[in-house]
Amino acid sequence: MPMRLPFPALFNRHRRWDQYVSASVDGELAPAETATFEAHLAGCSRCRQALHEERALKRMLAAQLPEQPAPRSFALTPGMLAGAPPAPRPASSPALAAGGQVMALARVMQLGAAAALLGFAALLVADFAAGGPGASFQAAGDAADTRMSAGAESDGAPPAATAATNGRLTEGPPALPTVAGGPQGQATGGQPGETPKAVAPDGAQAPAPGSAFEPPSARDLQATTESGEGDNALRPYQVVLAMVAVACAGAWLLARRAGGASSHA
Amino acid sequence: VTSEPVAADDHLVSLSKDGNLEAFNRLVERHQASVYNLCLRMTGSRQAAEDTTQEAFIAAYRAIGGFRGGNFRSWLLRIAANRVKDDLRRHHRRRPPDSLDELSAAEQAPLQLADPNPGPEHRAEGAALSRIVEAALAELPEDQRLAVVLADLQELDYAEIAEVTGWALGTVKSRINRGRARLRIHFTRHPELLAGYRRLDT
Repeated sequence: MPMRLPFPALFNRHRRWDQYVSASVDGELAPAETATFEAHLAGCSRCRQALHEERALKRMLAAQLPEQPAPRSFALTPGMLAGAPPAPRPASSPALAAGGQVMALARVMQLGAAAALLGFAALLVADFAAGGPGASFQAAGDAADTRMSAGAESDGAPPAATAATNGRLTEGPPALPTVAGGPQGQATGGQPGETPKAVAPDGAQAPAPGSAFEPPSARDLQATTESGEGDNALRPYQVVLAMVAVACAGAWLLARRAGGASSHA
Repeated sequence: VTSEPVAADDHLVSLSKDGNLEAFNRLVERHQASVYNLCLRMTGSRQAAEDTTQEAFIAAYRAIGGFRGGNFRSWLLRIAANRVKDDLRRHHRRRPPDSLDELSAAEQAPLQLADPNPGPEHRAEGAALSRIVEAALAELPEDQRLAVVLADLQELDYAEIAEVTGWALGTVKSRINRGRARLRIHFTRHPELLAGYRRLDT
């Protein structure tokens, strides 16, 4: 940054001494530096003048802009802290308050998406458990089929899967995954973890059925769908839950993007 | 330089870490003027300063578990300085200073001066001069303004300024020096401002 001082050349030669001037005004010169600086001052009228001026400046600033009393008490009330207990956070981290409302909305969406997805998965599990001793492999296929027919045109499967992953990774309340893990784990060990994964790849196949894929997998898929029609037909509430999950996940992603943009602006 | 009762701060901090809001609020009362004035001089707006001060204390309470000891005021001012920077960045510019019209007569009266006898200035001139100084401060680049505010208005020593800002000591020195150099140039247009304070200098 170029300095706009009256005598740039002189200033450059005096750059070192200028910092001595400031430090001297602030009483921050070490004893050895003080001696050096005083020796210099004796022969340099410019620095004497600068010292004189800078002392006056410091006094003037303090006098013209004196400390104001706090206009009110800034004591915290429990209401100001609602929903956020004191948690360790680095002092240097910039505040998240940027889009406070956006973030709150995002959190609600996140919870909504997670809850709807879990409800959806729990219902599927209940159906399979009641519907007979289906192999977990087939069950996963059914889940994918159901999702395919439910969200065929909205291509919402990938976002939903993303939401499920994010719901677990990010700051969703720790209670949710634990609660969900219990019943699901007992009913069909290991399957809940597969469900979101199974959704994504099969969802990706959906737009191009039979075009590039080998006949066996397509046939399997069809067979599964047909055989499932009787016992595991899509229920209206499943569709509703799936749509709620997809809508929440989409809205949440949008809100998150908006929040991120505003806080980094 | 710090005349803070450090031990008492530390005790209140450890109580606050256990979630004792009352203890934390005693820290708030003790340091709110410092935090508010830092925000006020950086933003130039009373309203923005109030908001930022409150936000800073809320953030400090939430972050206090991560406070690892040392000077509590420095830590607090650091949070406040970061808040102010966020605020300034979010608004892409300094908020417009409170206009004279908005201020009550009491606020327009300049004389919460440290010195009850402000030397050669007439009282009536005081408010106008303060405005000039505020405006000059507002024109400094943000980092230089922070350096000058901490050194000349908050009267922190260089080590504490380095703590609050996270800058190296050499950076502290250079920013104070550059900020003051700019102000001096600015005030050559208002020789009456410095005249009185120069005369005091022997």
